[in-house]
Amino acid sequence: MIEVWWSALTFTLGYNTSLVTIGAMLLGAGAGMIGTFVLLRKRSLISDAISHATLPGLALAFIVAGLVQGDGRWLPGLLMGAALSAALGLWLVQLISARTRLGEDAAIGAVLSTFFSFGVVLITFIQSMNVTGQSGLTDYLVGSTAGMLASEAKLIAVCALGLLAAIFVLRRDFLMVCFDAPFARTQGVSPWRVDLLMLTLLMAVVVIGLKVTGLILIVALTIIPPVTARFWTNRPLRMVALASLIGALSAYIGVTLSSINEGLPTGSLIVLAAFGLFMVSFLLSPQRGVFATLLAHQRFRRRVHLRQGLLAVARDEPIFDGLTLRLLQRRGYIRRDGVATPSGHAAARDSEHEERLWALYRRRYPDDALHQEHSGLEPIAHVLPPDAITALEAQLQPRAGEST
Amino acid sequence: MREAGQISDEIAASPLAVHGLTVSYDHRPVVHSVDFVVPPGSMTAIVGPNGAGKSSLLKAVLGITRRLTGDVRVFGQPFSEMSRHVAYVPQRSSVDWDFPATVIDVVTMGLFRDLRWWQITGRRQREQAMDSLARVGMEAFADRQIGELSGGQQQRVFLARALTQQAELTILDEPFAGVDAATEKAIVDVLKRLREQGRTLLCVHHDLATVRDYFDHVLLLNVRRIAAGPVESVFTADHLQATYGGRLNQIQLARLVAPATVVMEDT
Amino acid sequence: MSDFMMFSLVPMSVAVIIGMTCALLGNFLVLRRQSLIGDAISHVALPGIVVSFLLTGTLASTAMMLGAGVSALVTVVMIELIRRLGRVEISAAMGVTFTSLFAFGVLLLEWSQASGVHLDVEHALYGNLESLIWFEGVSLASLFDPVALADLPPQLARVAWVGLVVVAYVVIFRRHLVVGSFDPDFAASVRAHPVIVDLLLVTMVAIAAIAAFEAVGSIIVIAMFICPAAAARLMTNRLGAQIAWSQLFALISSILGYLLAGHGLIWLGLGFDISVSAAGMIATISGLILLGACLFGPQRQRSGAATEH
Repeated sequence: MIEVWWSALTFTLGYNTSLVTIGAMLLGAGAGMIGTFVLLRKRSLISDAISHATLPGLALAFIVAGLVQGDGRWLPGLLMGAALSAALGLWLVQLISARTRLGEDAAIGAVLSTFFSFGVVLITFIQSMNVTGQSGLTDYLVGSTAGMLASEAKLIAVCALGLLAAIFVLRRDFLMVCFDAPFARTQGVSPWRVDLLMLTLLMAVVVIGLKVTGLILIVALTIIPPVTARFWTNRPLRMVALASLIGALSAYIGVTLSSINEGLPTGSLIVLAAFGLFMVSFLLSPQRGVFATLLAHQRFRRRVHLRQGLLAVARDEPIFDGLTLRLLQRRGYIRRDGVATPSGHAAARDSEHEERLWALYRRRYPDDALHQEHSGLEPIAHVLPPDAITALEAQLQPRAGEST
Repeated sequence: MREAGQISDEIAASPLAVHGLTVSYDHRPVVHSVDFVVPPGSMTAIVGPNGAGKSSLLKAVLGITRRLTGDVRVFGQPFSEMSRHVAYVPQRSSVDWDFPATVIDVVTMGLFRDLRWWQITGRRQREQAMDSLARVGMEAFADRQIGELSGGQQQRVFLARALTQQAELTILDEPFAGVDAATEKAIVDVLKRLREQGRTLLCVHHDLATVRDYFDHVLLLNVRRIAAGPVESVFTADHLQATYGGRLNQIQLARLVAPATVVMEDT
Repeated sequence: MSDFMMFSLVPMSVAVIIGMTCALLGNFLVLRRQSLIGDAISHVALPGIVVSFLLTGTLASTAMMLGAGVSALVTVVMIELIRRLGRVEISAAMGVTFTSLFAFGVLLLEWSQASGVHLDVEHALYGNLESLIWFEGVSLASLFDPVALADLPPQLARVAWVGLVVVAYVVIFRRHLVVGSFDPDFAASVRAHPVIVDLLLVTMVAIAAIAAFEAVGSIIVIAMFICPAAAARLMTNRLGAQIAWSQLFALISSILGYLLAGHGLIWLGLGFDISVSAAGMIATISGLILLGACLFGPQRQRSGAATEH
């Protein structure tokens, strides 16, 4: 088993498999790229509507091809049918959310369920028709690369490459509209037209991907890689590049895994590979990962509690908060019965002095202080240069008795 | 140092006492270590620049957002036990006015805590709601769709909902934002009448020019408490400068702080 | 008549009950702009059912319900975690979660099929309403015959129970739902517990989705959550009336869809004596009703005033 996977990974499992792998990788890269822009535009789930809306088109194209040539499986025709009905679905989503009081969420949900249902009606109709290749149609639900013809794989690869190029060329326009649509208009870029282009390319990626991942799972390829990439960078173009890499990598892992055994669903494996990469990033990313975030939050919380507790000790106020009491006890600042220890009094004096310096700083330099994110929680010596502190100390002395 | 759990008389009598309140978003304190006590029967304004944490403070007090540290007491009890005595008027822009409801529907929401699930909203409730609507001059609009109202009318409806709550303390978030002059006057009248009945009002307020006319107490806030107390002693040029930094120039300050006749004429 | 009793009465009743139940909950999903939660949850019913099958080895309905219920809760928790901890926008978080879980379900399904089980993706997606045959239902008298009633397909009783639970939830929590949907901050301030009521709403959605999933497949569920309620919103500006409209639309779609699926092609004069998926047809009709409402609904436009922000 491992050997089979290895030979798939090294592209030595035969011409067809290699072709499919490359096609899927190009597709993954394209989906990741366009998906990033759609994510930045906060419209991720629109691809869900697009993908489900392809089904009636697929089925109708199948019926037409079946009536003409006796076998409905003709990939270019099917893809064209899919694209047409997806375009209709997309147009309806836009229309419903723009012209009625319904939100985009309801428009997406309504279009995806209605189109998909109508597709199912057509499929059950086909099943009672006398056309060969019917089982091929259900492959489009969850994807299958097992029986893919070389010509089909080539078509997918070529289209994916073309899309990739188109997205690459348009990336700057997309970005501008994602970040600042009004500004884009002043630069002679029509946000409406760019949006349309973006959605058209998204639709093309979805349609091309139908055969590989199936229409329910192609959505994942346009959403998971960009979300994953977001964990590693704040720079939009880097995010686009990273998302396309992650998409290609997921497709690579998924397709090669699925070639181990006939029955393994390609689409699922690609999506699960992408999800694996997502989980790793979600948990471990140093800036936005769960562990990093929780750790930072914990540290921040303790710092706030400790400062608050010490100030209360200094001002001789009661402390109610359990965590504050625990933190103070653990550091030996107060005794079990809540009475402050000598070291506690010393620390309290220190933090009150800090607080007073900060207050003075804020009063003297209010505009600077507004820009200090942690203003007051960091030791002042970490933020201000020593001479500035000395100057503040000097000003503090005569006013020491006063408090706001 | 006093024993933990002991509460001063001032806090026990106050409709709202906040101690050491810190609220943060993403490790950035938006409200930091704020202490203040709202005197009973007062009309207190919370004043500060944008992003000073005024709304966050209110939301943390009301338990809508979580607070990092701090203690909130209503008449000396924890807020969770006394929330019945507090009414809240959120920012008008925080809700979806396209919601399928009529004016009277929204106002009867104020009776939420009085109605059990098996009770229907009957004539008595409707009368109560109509009574509140009449106090804000909106009784003619009772069956109007809320989406059809102007901004000022929407604000009046929100105030009417708070009136039906019959709370000791009413907390309002920018009640005068984007409303017409007539509505502003109507709202101020209603609030002042509440104060005459001994109720307490706490209000996020953005218009410095009207602080002196509308309020008797003020909390100046910019993430931290800058100053708090009676308007005449706290609403000073020094404190405003500390709150707003360089965003107010000297002329503006002088106008605000002097008991200006110009401002009086406006209202 | 006996044909109707035997073949059509039960599927039609199941479709009507499911449709009306989902449409009832859908009103709140649409108003909260959370329609796609219904979409996500109906996708994850599949992995839940497959996992519970692999664990218990049976297709018994209690195990399946439990499995799907657990998976729905897992979904909601995952979405919230990804959204809060990873600071990912909600629709993207939903997309990540339900596609991954669905992919997991499909993989497990293919894997378990090797051991010869009858469960497949198509069935899960569009159900098999037509198979709910009441063999003892030979005449009207069967309705009062305990022996014949005992032979009713168990799905009917199940969806009826679920319908009752959902109605009870909406009745008991109607004020919480309305206040929480309109003004969540105010709801929190009067301790209407919007978070808990929200979670309960999602749980109800999950329960309805699962019950429906078994009988009619997951697409009809999504359509019924969204289309009737969305269409109803365009008919009126009163919540009560909206709910009534949504129930009417669900009823019409269920009955008309079912009849058209069975006989429509004959009526259309196409002459084919074949039937198409009833679940698909029902959902299609509900979509057409929504289209009609979008074109002609008296309240289809947003109200003009007071949208300055």
